[in-house]
Parts: sequence; C-alpha cells; structure tokens
Amino acid sequence: MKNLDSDLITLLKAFIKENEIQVDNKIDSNSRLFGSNSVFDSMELVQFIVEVEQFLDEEYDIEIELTSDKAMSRRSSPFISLNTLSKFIIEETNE
Amino acid sequence: MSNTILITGNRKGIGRYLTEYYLKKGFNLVGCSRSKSDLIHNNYLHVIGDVTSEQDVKRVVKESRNKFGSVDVLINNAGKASMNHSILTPVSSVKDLFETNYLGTFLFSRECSKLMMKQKFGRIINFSTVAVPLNLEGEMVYASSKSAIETMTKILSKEISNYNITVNVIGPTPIMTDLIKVVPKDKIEEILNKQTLKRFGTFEDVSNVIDFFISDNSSFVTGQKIYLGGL
Repeated sequence: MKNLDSDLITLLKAFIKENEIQVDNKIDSNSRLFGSNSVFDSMELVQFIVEVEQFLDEEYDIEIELTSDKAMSRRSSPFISLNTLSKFIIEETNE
Repeated sequence: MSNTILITGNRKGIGRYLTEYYLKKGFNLVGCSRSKSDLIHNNYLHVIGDVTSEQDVKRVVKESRNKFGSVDVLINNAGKASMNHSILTPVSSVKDLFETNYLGTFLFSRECSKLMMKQKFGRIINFSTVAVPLNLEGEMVYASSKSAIETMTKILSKEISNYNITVNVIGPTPIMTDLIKVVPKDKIEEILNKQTLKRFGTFEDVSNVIDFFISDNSSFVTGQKIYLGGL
C-alpha cells in the first residue's frame, strides 16, 4: 500500500480521461472529490468510488466497503479529497 | 451485448427453468442458491450463497466476474412467500420475508450495478407478484415486500439510467412451484378468478417477458412492471 497515494492519482486521471470530464485544475492528492470545487458531479463520484473499490480488490486484494455506515457517518467525510480517501483506506485496512 | 446472466434462487422452480432456458440460448449462466445444484454445463457456474448476506452476495458477483468477465443481466428471482393473517404474523416471519425478498434484491442489484456501470450496459429484472395490485388478504407481508421491490425498481432505474442499465419488474400470477405450496387451494382459486385470464401462469409466460426486458432492442424500456394474467 506504499504507492496508494500515487495509485489513486493515476486512477483518478484515468477515470477523468475515460469519462471525458472537464477539469480546470491540476490533479494531485488535494484534488476535491465533492463539493463546489470538486472534479466531478455526484454520480461521477459514485462511479469513482466503485472504481476505487474494484482497484483495491484487484491490485491489493483488499475488499473494502467505501460506502460503509462508518464512512458515511463520519463527521469529516473520507471523500473530500484523494488525500482523505487514502487516509481512510489505510485506516480501514489497518483495523 | 448480453452474454452473462446471473440468476438468484435457481436450484429449482422458475429459476431452474430460466437457467436451462438461457443456457440453451447460448448465454453464460451463473446461479446462486443456499445449497448445491445438480446442474452441470460448460457455460454454467453455481455459487452457493445466501442472498441476505452482504458478504455472500459480494462473493457470488466476484466469482461471476472471475469466471465470465462480467454480469450483463441480473435476474433477482430468489424469493419467499408466506400467508398469514396480519394479527397472527410473527416478527420473525416479517424479517425473513423482507430479508430474502427485498434485501436480497437490493444487495444483488447494488453489487451487479457496480459492474454494469463500468461496462455501461446492464439489464436488471426483479420479481414482484400479482398479490401487489390485488391487495390480497392474508398476504400483507409478502405483498408488502414485493411492493417495496416495485418501488426499488422505479427509483433504481432512474439512478443508474445514465449507464445504459435498465431495471424492470415482472409480476407473475400463481405458477405451479414450491413457492405456492404454502398457499391454500381456495386462496389460489380466488386469485385466478380475479385475473382477466383465469389460469395458472407458466414458466414460458415468465421467460417471454424477460426475453423482452433483456433484449438489446429494449434499451428504451426501464422502470416498468408487467403483470401476467391481465391485471
């Protein structure tokens, strides 16, 4: 999982390209995943979360539910940015 | 586009018929039930699993993907029936029916939708019953669970419509299967008499409607329900 941050950036870039999403800012670990400055709309976020789940399963053999009750009920959402998402994944897999 | 079909609750009854029917048509088939199946075919994978278990459902879908690469069509056939006066219905019975009928349909739809979204194609077929529009006495819990599936069908069809995934529901009349063994004969007669076409449904009646829903030509048909028997 040491390459998780860069893997997520690569995944997001590929996702943006594949879905022809218009992005104005540079993609990095601080890129917003939802909210007014996010790179995509709510349905694209749903699709991206699914992509991340499948990626973790295929590349790291980790089965994780990113939309678990725990993720959804956190005061601070794990889906704010790639950075918070990465931290959440590491947290979940270390438990 | 449709190559692989996943059918839940397919060890016997309608599910078994649909499995053999679509294998004959050349599809890859994945079946799921709580116990082993005696069906052997080169294009058939049977996975033992409980539709009410999130973990099992994820495993079934994953094994389908590993074996055939995707799931193009999901037929949420697994279901339970129960008849009782509402006042005499135990809580365990309500939970059991809602878990198998509603939760099972939800879990498989959610997990298969994830694959379908990625491939931007999918057909989901849910099962309701004529007991919903007939509001039959003694079938409050069963009909309620199926009514919830109809609502799920309508809303899910909207939520995933951008991905070329259609979600539709079929409502069969009574068909001679194990499911209606628990229903008294006079009650069955009462249902048949309320249908426009007063006969039992057949497996072929069901596959005919599913053929329509899963056809590549039905990409503009979603969120729809078709009851058999003229209701």
